[in-house]
Amino acid sequence: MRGFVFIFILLFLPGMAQAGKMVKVKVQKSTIFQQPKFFSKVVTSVNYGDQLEMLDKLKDWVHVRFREQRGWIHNSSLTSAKFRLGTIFVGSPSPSATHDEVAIAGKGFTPEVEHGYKESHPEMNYALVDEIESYSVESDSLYDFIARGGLRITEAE
Amino acid sequence: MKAKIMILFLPFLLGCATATQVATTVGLGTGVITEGQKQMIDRTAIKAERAARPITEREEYYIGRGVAARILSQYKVYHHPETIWYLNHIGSTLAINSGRPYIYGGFHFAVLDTEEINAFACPGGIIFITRGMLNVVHSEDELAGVVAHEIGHVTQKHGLKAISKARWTQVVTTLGMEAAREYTGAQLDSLIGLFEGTIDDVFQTLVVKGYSRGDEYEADKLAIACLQASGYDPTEFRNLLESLNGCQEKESGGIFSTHPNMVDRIAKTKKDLRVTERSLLPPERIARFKRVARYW
Repeated sequence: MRGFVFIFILLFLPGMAQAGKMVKVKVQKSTIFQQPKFFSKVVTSVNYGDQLEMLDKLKDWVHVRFREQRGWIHNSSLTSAKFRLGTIFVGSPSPSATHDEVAIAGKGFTPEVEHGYKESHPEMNYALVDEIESYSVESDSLYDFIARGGLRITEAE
Repeated sequence: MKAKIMILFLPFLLGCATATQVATTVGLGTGVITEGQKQMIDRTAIKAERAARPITEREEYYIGRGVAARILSQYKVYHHPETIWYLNHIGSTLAINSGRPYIYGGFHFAVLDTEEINAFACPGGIIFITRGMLNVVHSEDELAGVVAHEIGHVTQKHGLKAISKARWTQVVTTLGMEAAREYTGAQLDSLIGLFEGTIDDVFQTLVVKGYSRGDEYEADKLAIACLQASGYDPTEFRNLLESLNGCQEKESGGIFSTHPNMVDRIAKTKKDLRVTERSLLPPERIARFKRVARYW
């Protein structure tokens, strides 16, 4: 009996250790909306590393609380420590399930590494990369572009 | 005893070093293993987890910036505000419908000022379309097809597959096991060298060798699904491939040296396009394409 309990604990420890209701933002910037859909009213913006309390899920959207404000955020913005049974038993590393991206962000290819590379390779055109990253699309403008062009947003089934 | 020690390795095999450490502590407390065995198991689990850790989206972003910087050291950018505005609106519409609308640094779209017919998707979301390619497309829907195909490469992280496994293992090994956040000088030098090698791996695949055929067909399939979800006419994607096929007879470089034969791509996409009926393009979509395309 004692052996069975021990095996049971060992099998489920990985999940228990990673389970939790806190999720982190894994992208530079994202938006919490009032409704679980794009272009609904914006509640607030969140940045990389912000911690959100997960309240509920609906398809690709997660209902969260952040600094006393509630709203919906798209799940592609989030890294979650939440355990997913399938990935554990498959055993292959899954970027979204078994690793907390934000927690290991201080190591690996960081801004410090990029800075060193830039210094040793001045011929690489990082100034243009920065310029291209500044190309942005305003939400109202995109909404108008989609509507006028007879386009649409299809939410996941 | 041997069987019990094997059990202690289970969480490690399942990919979680933290759980292994908890388990070994339990094992030590219950007398199943000795202190020396606990330390050995913990060390092995941490090492294995680090070696297995995937490239994070933030790392993907920095790799992509490096690849983009390298591409931009060889090509000029077409600085035309209306084209940039138009391309980024098409791209953003498609990105929302791509299944991965939020990526670390967001999607950004730019035009390379060259007659070469090509398009490149850097990991992390910077996408380049050449002026040569702009001159091949006949409609916004065809242009959306080019962009959607490149977005597919980003969402599926095809570019990252080019990174040599040995190189990535070396990156992880260089990081070491200590929790220190600051690199030593030697560590940083080594990582910069590995970063350069990683950028080169991806650059060679994007610009010289091309992705695998499987990745190209997958990007076509995803492009059709994304076009459909966005309200674009997916049958225009076939028109695009046919136009490219026409160019293939005259040109052999650029996209034609890195992609499968267009006839094969047309054949492969037939199944995905079979049930789709051709829709009438809204007049505004036709008009805005004409307004911008005259500058290309």
